Amino acid sequence: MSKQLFLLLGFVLSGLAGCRKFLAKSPDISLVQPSSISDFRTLLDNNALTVNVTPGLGPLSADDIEMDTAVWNKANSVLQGAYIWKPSIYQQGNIAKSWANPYAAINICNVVLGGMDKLHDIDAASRMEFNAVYGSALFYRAFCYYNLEETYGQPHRPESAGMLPGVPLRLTDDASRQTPRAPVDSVYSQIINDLRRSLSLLPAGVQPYHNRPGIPAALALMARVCLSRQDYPSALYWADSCLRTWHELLDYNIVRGSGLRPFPDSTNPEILFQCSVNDYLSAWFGQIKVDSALFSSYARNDLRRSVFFQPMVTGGGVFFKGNYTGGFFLFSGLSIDETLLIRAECNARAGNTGAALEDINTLLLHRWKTGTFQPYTTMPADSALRLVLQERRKETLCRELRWFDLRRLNQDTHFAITLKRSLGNILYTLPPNDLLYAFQIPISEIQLGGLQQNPTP
Amino acid sequence: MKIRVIATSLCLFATYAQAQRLPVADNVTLYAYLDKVKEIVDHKYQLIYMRDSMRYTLINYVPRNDSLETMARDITRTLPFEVIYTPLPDHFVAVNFHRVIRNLVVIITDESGMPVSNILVTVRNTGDSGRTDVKGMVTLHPAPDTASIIISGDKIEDQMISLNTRCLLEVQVHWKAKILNTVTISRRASNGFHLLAASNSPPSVGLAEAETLNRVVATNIVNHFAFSGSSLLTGPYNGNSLGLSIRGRNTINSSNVPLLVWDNFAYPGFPGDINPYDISTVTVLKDAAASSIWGALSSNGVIVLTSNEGHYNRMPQWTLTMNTTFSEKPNLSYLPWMKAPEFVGAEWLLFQNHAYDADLNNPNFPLSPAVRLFSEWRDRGLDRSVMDQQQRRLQQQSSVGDLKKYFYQSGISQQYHLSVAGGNLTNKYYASVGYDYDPTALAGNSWQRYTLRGSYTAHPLPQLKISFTLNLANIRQYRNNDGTLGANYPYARAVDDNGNPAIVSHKYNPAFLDSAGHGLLQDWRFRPLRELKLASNHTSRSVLNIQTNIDWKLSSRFSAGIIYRLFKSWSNNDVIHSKDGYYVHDLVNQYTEFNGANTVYPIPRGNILFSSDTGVTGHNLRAQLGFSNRSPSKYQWRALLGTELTATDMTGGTNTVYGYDGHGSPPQMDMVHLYPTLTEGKARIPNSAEILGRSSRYLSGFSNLYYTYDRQFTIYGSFRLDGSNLIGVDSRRKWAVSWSLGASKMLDSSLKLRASYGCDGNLSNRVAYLTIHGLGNNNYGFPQSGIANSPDPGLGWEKTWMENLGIDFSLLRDNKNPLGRLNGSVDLYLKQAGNLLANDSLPLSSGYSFFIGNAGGIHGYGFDLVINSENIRGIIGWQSTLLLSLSKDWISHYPFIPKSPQSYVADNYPRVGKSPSGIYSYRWAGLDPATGDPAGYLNGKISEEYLRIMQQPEGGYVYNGSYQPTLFGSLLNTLIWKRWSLSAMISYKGGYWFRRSSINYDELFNERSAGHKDFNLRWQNTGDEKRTNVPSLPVKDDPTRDAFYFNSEALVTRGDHIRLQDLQVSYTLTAKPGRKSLFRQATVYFYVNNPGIIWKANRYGIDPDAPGYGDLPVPRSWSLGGRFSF
Repeated sequence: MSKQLFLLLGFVLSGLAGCRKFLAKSPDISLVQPSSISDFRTLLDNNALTVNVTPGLGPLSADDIEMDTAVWNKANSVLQGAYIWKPSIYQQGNIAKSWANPYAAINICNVVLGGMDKLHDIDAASRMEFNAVYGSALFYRAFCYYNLEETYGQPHRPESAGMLPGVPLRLTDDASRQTPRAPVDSVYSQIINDLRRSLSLLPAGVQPYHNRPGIPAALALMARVCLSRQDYPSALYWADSCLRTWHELLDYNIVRGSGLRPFPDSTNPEILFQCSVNDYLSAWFGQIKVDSALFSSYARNDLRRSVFFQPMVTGGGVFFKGNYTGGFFLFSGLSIDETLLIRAECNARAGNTGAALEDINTLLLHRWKTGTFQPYTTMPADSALRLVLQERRKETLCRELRWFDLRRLNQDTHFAITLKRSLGNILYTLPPNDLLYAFQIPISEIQLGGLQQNPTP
Repeated sequence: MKIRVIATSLCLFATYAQAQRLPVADNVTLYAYLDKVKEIVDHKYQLIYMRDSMRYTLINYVPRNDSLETMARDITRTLPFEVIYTPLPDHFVAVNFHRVIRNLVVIITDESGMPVSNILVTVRNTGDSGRTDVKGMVTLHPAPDTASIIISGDKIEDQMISLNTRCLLEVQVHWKAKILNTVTISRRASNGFHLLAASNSPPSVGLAEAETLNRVVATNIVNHFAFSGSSLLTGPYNGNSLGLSIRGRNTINSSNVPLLVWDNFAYPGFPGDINPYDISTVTVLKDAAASSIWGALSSNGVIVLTSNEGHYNRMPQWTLTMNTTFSEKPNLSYLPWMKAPEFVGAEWLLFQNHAYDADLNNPNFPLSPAVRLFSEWRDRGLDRSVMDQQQRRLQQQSSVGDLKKYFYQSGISQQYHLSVAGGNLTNKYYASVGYDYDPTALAGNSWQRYTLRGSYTAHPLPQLKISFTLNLANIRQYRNNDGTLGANYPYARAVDDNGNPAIVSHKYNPAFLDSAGHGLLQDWRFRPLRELKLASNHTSRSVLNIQTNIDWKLSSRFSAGIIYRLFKSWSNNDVIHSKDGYYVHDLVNQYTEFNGANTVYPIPRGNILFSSDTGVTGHNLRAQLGFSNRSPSKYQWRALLGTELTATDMTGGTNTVYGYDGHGSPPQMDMVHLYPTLTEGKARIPNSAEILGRSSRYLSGFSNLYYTYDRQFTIYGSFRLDGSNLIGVDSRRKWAVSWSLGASKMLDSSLKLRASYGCDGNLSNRVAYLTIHGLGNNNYGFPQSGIANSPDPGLGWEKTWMENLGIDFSLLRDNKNPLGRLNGSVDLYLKQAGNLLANDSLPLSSGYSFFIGNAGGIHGYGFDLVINSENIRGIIGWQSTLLLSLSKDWISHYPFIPKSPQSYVADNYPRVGKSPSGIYSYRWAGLDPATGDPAGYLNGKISEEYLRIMQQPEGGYVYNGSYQPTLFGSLLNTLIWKRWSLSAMISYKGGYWFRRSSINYDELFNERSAGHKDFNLRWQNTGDEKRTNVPSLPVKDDPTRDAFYFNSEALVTRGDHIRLQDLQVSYTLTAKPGRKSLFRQATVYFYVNNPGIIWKANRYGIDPDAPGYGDLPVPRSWSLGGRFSF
């Protein structure tokens, strides 16, 4: 009797032990708890949605574009508002993707970094892939924070970077934590720290898949970040390091300029890291003009006239089609031409006019019709700087960079300019160093996150 | 085996406990009992009995005291034995159990103890029979020891009872709900685990039986009971796959579909796959006492379907049911589209305002023929008179006429069902085949269903019952027609003047199509009628449902059962886009790459097949032990203890095959790289390849207990524990507990009081840990994924607590209507749903936009009223059944408090204190007398700043009420005259609101819809604001102005209405006993479904069950059918 009872008890207990496994079955095969290096890799390869997308508000507000009143009337509130520098541009209820996407990417990076910290016993064979993924997460996080800071944070001023608010720094995947805005220089040091760490992990060379960073991408980003901090010697060092590892330029003479998409992503040697701008403008491809003064600054033999631009179907003017993304989306990644221009600018600022002009010549030889470009030989230092900045403007338009440059260059009275827009009879202006050079943080974020809003005039 | 061990040991224990006293007889032969008695009684008694005469005498007996005499008298009261005491020397006594011959007396009573007359009692072995008299008694000739009797009558459920030599029997019979009412409580109500002894049980249930169910002609079982279930609300507002809700809403974000149980287990398939003629009863489990036995699945209420089975000891009975239904074409003029002249007029107005100028050259803008005509006149120098003439032609066209003629049809659908049921003493069987065909209202679509059911129950041993059931269904469906012309203007034609399929402007600008491709492209025009002819969208589904049931009566007190159910379904959907059709042409053209002479077509110019396959496999295994005390005693108890294991797996996959020719291997496609497309930048070749796999696992334990004292007072309790793979990483939160307690008391023979309290559970599909989900390939061809679920270690089950108080009454009872001429029930309930998944916002900088946690709650109350009455009795009989339910609920907890009216009005966020199904709208301040612009309130002042109105922090909006009816019910009246019966079902829905559609100027500006007839009512001149709420035609497109008007108070409309749901006339012929006749019974009926609305609160001509812009009311249908039993 008691024997049988024990048997029964044993049976029940073994059943309970079995049920743990029975109930552990995943409810949906499409739901995976990320646990392997390749799982984390798939999260970072999410390029179209989050990781390889930048905020994209700058290109709407910068002086690269010009909109007709009819087109502006049909645009959504973000495009309308940012174009005329209205303080509030988001409609309530719509997710502000220019803010949300980078933070979603940062969260992914934090999940990846946190998850990979828990992986142990990495064998030698997978150590390289582990490092590549870990380093990529650090790189992406730095890149997102850079773009967020340059969009929503106060501009970096060497004298007051420690006091002005930047953007909230979230460094773990704990969603419940409230995070206030960090000072601008903390944001920058975080970016530089992440990039330094990534440099020791990332694979050498530009990656065959441009959505993934290699060491040249990290070096180029480092150069760009230092340039934005107006730390020109460092920017020179990093840009030079980058160009020593990778320096091939695309000769526009072999680019088929008549097409709407002249630069295929896969065969463009200048791309160090592929990234596109949030799609505020892509729906208006062919309908938004390039600033006419800017267009007229291209010389007749400059191939960029036809490679970058196409006449509008009606109404005159040209629109921009020279996206390094290979599609209708604006490019916001890292490339050789930009890095070359950083080195040139830093050299010019340092008085190394010869070195600066050499870089400009190298670039323009690849941009002008073969045999038509007369290389610059010598000129005064400040003219060289002006030349470099002018070429920078002409080479990197519609790339998100112009807005970031305006935030930096306006601090120098020599280069400060007032932006102007006209719609119908109304004229809008944005003076240099205006408070609106830092976009308003979405209201829901102020309310929920307890954040300090950027001041408006 | 182990079960047996426990059961036996418990039996032994019970016996030892009374060792000194007279033993208990537990279904043993009389001699075996007397053998035991002999061992323990005083030796002065000499028991004398002939074993042979007692061979078949089985007895159950509990001694009242230790007296041998009492025992002998008790036992022999119902048996043909006399006890003769003979004194022997030395004070010894001989006790002789002497066999005598006695007449067989049977006394029949009903559940309440009332004698039942005119019941036929037949002795199976001799054929001797008789009917009971007014005292419910019948006396028959002495019957053989092994005989059994059959008790049968029109209004009761047949029974067969083995006599086991008894000569006096009191039998309780159960009433069939013979009265043609809908919601009676009978012993056939089941909760899916056991029959609820409804006459004295506390749970609140509603039951509809075959006779009520089959009044309705429909192919889906849900339509058969939708209006005859108490507290059941049917309609589109429920937002779930069954279209039903029970006692309101108990969840915010999780599924609100009631659990559908079909023969013991939750049914994972589609209810439309069940043949309604195989269903004998539908039970709605309303309160927690009824439903909590279903644990974590029960919170939304439970509906139990019970299938037809065979009958013991009955000749095979064949039943043939068939009917033919004629459905009218849907009323397309109900669509609120603008008429062609009005629409062209509006386009002309807008064209003159330059509304279309920005899009004249946009290739992705499907410019309508009229706008194109205007543009040719203005921009290309078309002659004004030619334009006027062509404009007049367009104004004479009508999409509605062509849709009606070529796209809709009046269908004739058919249903056939043949069944046979019967059985003998030890087994019973039921088998049926069914075929249904419905061509549907859309030409080119059809639906058909084949069903097969077999059920067999056998008793190989007296204590062992084994049953086996098989259900098979096959469904084939064509969905080639979506009922639209693919055009956004109301003057599109399906055919041109020559009767050939006409071209409509669809997806692209016709001007772009004229110029695109330099002749290198495929025909890029859209011809809806040709598309309809080329379409092939076929679904085939097979469903298998097998059940094996073993019941083992271990003793009269203990029983054990095991049920196993296997569910399997295979479903395949093939959509073939013909190489001659638009879909293929469109894709081929989009991806064409012009490289001079060498034009490349990345997409092959062949058919494209989208196929998807889904397979579901479900295993359910339930083992249960039942305990009960012996039947004849003052108190009765019954207990059930069991465990259940459920594993349901869904696997599936979808695929796209290009160049599909029905055989051979299709070409390999590069679906990774991006191709340039003609109008949309870059894109991949569309690929639907996907593999699905879902699993649900449950492990449950359950028990319940009934205790009835003197048939007057009953206590009921149930308890269930569920574990599932769906919830929680934290193992403590994996388990959900549901329980209930109830009590009922008979106040007198016609009044019963019930009360219950309990807790039900509800599942969500959320998981507690961080998960990622695949998102296909990225631009570089690598697999990419996103975060699917943010971690929530505290995730738990949703719960609903319910208190129920009910009264069952049964007044004016007499012999002809044992349930009472006025019977029914009233139930009052309170409910509190808690732990509900609710949204809370997170700052976007967390990487998530919101967080879902167990923080919501809903409270509610309501009543359910059921009245069955027999109003007139005589040559003409008149019976009525009234169902009326009130269900009110409101949000009690919700953590997220939105900051703007827009969140409530447009995003449907719930608000504490308001219904979870609430409609909110912007406060309406009328139209601006100067401009006809709609006006609302901003900070309490009249304003036309729509964006600011929508986003203001406080006010500016109103709560209108619930979009789900809160007061609803039905009234069924039946008139009976001789063999004729006429019945009519009236349904009522009230206390709710809907948002009606109106003119959307933004859609008009962007050519996105066929407009709305409210355009004619628009404000045009000052003063119009007094007669209309329709805003004026704006000067420029302003979507926020439309969004404000659409969501304003002005368009919220009361939904209350009374509908004549259906009408049925039937004629029934019953064979006279003894006469030879073709049929035992034949019923021929005529049925009208949805004859029309009797009254509605809105004055806009809107059917509240079809309130949306494109909705069409259910068309009226007429059926002729018959039911013949042989």
